[in-house]
Amino acid sequence: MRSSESINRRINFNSFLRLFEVLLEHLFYSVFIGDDHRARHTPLVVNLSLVIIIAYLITRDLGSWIDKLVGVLILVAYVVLEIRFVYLKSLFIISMIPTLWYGFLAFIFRPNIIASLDVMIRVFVISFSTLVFLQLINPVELSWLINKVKSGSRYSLYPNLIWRVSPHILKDLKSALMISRLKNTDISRSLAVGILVLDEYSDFYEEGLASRDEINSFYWYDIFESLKLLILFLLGFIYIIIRVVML
Amino acid sequence: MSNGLSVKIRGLSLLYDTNEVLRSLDLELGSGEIILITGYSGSGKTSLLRILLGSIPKIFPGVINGYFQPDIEVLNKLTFYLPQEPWFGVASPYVWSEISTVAKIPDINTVGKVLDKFDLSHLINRSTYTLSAGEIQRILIILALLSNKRILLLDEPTSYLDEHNANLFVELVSRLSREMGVGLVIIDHRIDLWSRYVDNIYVLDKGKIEDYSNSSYEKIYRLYIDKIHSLKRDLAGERRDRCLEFRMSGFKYPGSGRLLLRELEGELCYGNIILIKGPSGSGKSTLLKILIERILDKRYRDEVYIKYRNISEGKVKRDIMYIPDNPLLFFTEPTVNEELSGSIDLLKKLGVPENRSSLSIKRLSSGERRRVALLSAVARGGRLLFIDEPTVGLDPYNKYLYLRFIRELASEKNYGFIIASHDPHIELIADEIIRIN
Repeated sequence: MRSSESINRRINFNSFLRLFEVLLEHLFYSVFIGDDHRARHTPLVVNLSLVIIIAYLITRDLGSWIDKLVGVLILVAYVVLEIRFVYLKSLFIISMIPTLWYGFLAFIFRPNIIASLDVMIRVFVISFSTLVFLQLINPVELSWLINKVKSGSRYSLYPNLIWRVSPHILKDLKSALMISRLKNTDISRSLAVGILVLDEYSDFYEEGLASRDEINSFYWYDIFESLKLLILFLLGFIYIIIRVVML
Repeated sequence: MSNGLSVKIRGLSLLYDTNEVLRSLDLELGSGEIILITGYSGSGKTSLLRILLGSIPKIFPGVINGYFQPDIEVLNKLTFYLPQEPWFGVASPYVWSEISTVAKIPDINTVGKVLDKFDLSHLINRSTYTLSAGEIQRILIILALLSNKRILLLDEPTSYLDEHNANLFVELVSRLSREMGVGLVIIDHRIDLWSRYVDNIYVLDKGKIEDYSNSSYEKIYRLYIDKIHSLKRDLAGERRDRCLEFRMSGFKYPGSGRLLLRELEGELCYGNIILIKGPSGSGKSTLLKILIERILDKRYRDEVYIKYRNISEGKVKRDIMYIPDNPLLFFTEPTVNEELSGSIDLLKKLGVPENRSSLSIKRLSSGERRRVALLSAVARGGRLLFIDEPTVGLDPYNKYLYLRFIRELASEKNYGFIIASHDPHIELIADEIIRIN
């Protein structure tokens, strides 16, 4: 029979593990799952440039709060253009983790609510736009680009494999944490087994793919989706140029 | 079209540490022939496939001796492998990119046409992560055929398939193999399923190979299948009072438009074995996890209604244990002895030799892990056990021991079992069946 002390310990432990499990699940939903779609056939460089523009407008002091507002508006437009494809709830929850942490730190060092809010908005916008970017990355494009730069490079395997294997591992890690709670064992033991699992999966994937002579795929861009993002990028870019010239 | 290759192996032996896993094994595979290799868990079946593939000694350790025609390195390059857990054979995040890699297809329309030939064009944009085991296996078969390899190595390919899909798979792969002249080496316990389609059936026993019809394995196979059939009659389950009633309105993953589980209801009672049954990819494992999370953390309250009858919620929470389909995830200790907290006498109940107790969990075979995980769950006080695919990879003898053990625990000690599986043998010992369509 399990003692009441053990049960109490289990309840406290459960709360911590539960939080970790929920975060893992949202990371899983926010980045790795989802079928292929047109929004994932837009150039990586345009998506990345958009995130850089948003981060620039929200963090650099160009002299007016309107700049920050424009940064937020570009992020909103970025999400709205691809709204069918992103898991907003999970993106929101994951973005709130660094946001709250930095907001808390800012308040500790400088107890001013407005200043803390300012920090929180900046961190949230950057985290959120980075996650949207990660959501829209197409690993096949990354592999294709690496292969273009250096044909036959083994590095071209990695993006595809990371996107393929990560959800598998995250799902299993979540199961292992749930089992750890049920068995009332130390989390470090689950993590140790997690390493065993990783080691075994790496052998199994290597074996499962041993018969392959070719691992690279073709890739294509969706003109319409790419144009939408390119226009958004150009609008942001022109705004920054104007502001810098005005300064 | 004959694309096949004849293979002759003489005096094959495999040494791992000091254990002789395979001993003086002779095997022949004619051009385009289909052979089935069966045998007890741990008899060296997977090791034989790994030698043909080349993953022993390249990935897994072992010393090989023997004569091969063609040469072993040539043979390794001519084989295509379908792993028992088919998801390990997929390298790409989407179906279209997976197909295009192996076949070197240059555009999406051609990929669509290839998939269309196999009635799988609806999967073209799907994330490979979200495919069911049956869907992945069909994709892998397409890849194998497009790869121009001469021999397909199938390691327990029907393990994760329900009866209907297993029959479809066996028929499909046998037909395509005949049409394309590709040889098949299959490892499986489900002899009845394959017997109509294969040219020869062999048994591997203690590292040696023999003809199935001349071996004692056939009699033992039949004996234990019959014994499984009589288990429920011998150890009948009674309807018990302490139950959880559940009603599910439907469930879908966040961001997914597809309803994975529709309206469902059932009772999970102590003293009973409840089987969640349904085709591959129907959501059996998901239902298992949703129920656990609903009970433990009160998640999915909008989707699942639960009523406790003659038992407290706290007691149920303390009694739950969960063994996933990958039993390695269940372990939290490095060795069998530590995992069982010293209760190694339990091992013999499930046919695991006691000398395995000092072994690292990693050294156990998949079937041994399943059995040790069950013993550990019981040793740690679990009385309401949720188990996902418990009999995958178990030979009839070990399956019989496993099923008898849980039937005894349910009937005589009032344990509750909720099992997600498509194994028809579990249906024979279950008190209730929840069917998912």
